Amino acid sequence: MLLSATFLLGCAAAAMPAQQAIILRPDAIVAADGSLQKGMAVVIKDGKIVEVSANPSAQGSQVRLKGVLAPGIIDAFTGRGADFLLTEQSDAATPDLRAADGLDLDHPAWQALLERGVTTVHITPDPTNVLCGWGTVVSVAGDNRKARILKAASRPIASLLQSSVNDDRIGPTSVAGAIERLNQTIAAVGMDSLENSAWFFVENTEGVAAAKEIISSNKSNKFQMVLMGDVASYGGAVAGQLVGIPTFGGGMVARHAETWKRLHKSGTTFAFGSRGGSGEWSSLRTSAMSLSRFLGDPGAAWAAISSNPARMLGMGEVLGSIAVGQRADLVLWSAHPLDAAAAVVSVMIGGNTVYRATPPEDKS
Amino acid sequence: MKDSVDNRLSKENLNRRMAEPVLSPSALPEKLIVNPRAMLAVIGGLFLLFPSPLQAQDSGYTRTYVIQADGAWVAPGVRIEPAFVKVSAGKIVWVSATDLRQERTNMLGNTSIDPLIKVNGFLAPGMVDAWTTMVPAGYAQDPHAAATQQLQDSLPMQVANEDELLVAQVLAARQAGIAAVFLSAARDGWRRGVGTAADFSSLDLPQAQGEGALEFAVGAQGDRGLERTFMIEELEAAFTEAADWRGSWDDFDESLEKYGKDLEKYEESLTKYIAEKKKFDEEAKKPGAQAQEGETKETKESKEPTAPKRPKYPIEPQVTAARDLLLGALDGKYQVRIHADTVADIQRVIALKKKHGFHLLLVGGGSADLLADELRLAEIPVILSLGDDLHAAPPVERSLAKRYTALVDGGVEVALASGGAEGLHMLMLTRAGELIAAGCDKNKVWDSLTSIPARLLGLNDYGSLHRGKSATMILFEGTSPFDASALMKTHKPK
Repeated sequence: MLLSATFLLGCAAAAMPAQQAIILRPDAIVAADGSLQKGMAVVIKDGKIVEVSANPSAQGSQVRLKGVLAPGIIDAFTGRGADFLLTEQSDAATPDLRAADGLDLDHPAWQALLERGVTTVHITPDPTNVLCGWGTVVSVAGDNRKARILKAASRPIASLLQSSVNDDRIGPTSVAGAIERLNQTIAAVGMDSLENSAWFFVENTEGVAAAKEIISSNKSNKFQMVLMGDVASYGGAVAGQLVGIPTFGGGMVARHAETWKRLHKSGTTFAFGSRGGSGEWSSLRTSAMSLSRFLGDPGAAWAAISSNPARMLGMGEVLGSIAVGQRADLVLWSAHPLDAAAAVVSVMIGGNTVYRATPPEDKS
Repeated sequence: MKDSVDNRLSKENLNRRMAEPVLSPSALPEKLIVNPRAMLAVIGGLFLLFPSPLQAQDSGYTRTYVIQADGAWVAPGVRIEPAFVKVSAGKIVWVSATDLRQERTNMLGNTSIDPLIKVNGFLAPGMVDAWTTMVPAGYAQDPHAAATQQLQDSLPMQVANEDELLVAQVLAARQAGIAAVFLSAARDGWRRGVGTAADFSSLDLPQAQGEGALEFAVGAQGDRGLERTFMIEELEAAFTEAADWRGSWDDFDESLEKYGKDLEKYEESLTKYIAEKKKFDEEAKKPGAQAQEGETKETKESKEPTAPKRPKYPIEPQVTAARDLLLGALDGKYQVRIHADTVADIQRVIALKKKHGFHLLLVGGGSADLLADELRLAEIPVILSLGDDLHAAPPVERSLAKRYTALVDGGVEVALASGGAEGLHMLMLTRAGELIAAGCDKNKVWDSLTSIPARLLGLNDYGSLHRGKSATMILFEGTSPFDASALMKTHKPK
């Protein structure tokens, strides 16, 4: 393990100036469907994956990796790595607020995330305003701010949660009031704020209906939902879509497992985010493991922390899987990342090895 | 007997009504009906004759078959490949690496053989969740005093559609790979009544099994506010009082003996007095007995005999249900589960065990790892919650993985449980798996989820796949039950 990790570290360092292709040969890779594929080589060049095949045509230095190579884990919506609140409480609608402006690139969260195989996070404003502002997609490690921020303004975030419609300081105090405020804001700032696949945080059927109404009345059909609260009571209204769900923690009730199963059967796909979910650093992976058990579909569960968050952000071509054209955000695990006994061996972001775990025997 | 309106709803009356179908009050001697204690004794006797339906029910599993799997994790350190497991009526008949089925010939000459079910993956015993707060509907609202409430008495009857919420929780637990649980009263306060270990019936309802445990919580786990500081004192005082109270029966017995003797003396004196008084009265009635001149009133009165004082019946020590439970624990009838987290509280819990010697389980144990040696010496097992922060924000030394490892390495028996947080039992296996990812030993973690909690709860049918054990198993296709990259199913006996 130590040997392979050192190789990875060494080759990456060597690779940077020369921009030479590196051929990674792990024991197996995690394919897009979550299954393990043995004997595959992953060729990276200029921080990107340029070839994935058993017999790559590209020339370059070969690196044998002991372990399972997987795309880095992606957090679909979080507040980690930023100012605590990321909201503006003096107004109920803050269409121009940018999460990127509250980013803290020196936050201790980054290292903790890296150690758990998370390579990309989508930081969103806190969903307590009806229109909260813009999220930002951030790479967990990188040389500088420019390299770290993959998308400064990712998605406009709207919220129809109780916390946004029942605020007696600045209002609104009802879903109807929130809708009015949202429409006013859209009229004032123009469609730009919503047409770019807005995300709606919802927690009941009223919220889902209102989001659909607002979008359709603005002649768009591009929007996505993040499901908060008791999904069992309203999940049917979003069946068949790609939805965000908070990571699992305490407060889950028995019927939720059944809800995820039914939504899965109806074609719904999931993307986990840690905002509003479990506070633990490892919550993305543990939630995916639990989802795998609930659905009886490890592939769907793996997608929920890899390709689905990337797709939800419109970045499925560059993030979330091991495929040609993707960023070389790769994590070497000791076993399949959904095997709870697996540990992170090393992490590569944009082709550079940025983290190497201390082998267990070295831990004091 | 004729009921007055006031009397109609009295407790003894209700008791009598309960007994009516079996034994009409008219058939009872009048004395028994009037005396409430005697009445209760009769009703108690009836329950002995007709055992509680909760205890009499079987699990509802009936079929016989053999499962063939790629292998089995039979017990700690015992693994076989392949595995054949014969199941009958919900129990394991045999486990073998070869097919031990034999053809049978019946009286008509027809041969038959147990059906074989082939499955992919490895069989392993179902987990035992030693700390849940799954409770029957309305349990927490039960008007009985929390200190004396017995959860077992509130479990639903084994009837289809009974307590749907509980069924949903059991189904979720089954799906998560859990075969048996400890049902703990979800209550505030330091006295929490008697929880019970339970497994699941064919109707997916809990059935009491194993041992009951008297539950307490001290410190922050009990109530909020200043009261928490005094909880451990109250607990100590309650056990000391119970032990002393038992001693007070010896005093009472002595007093009773003395009372008997005093009574004999009294009766002698009384007989003497009656005779003297009679004589005195007769003399007083004589005509010549009128007060003569010169005789003072005082001297006359001094002649009149005085009645002896009847000795008082000694005061009987008062019986209370709450104390009876403590005495039951002191006698080994119940385990004692104490939820404590701080070093100071745990030290006093250890002292309590040393003083009274009861069967004690430490629950929660936030700082238990710091007292691993003391806990090992006092033979106190610990039940940790998987709901605790797995990695912990700094200091990392307080993460569950570190705490678990320190206890296990220190020689303490540790069970890992869901910890009673709503829904957490569904996440138990993956959270336990994270301990392995953090460096804990995979086999030890598995034992802490199966054989250890089964032993601690007295669930003798669980924790391994040996002959006679429950056939509620899990079937995993990955490298271990902790591998969620492959399928895991649970086997509910047929």
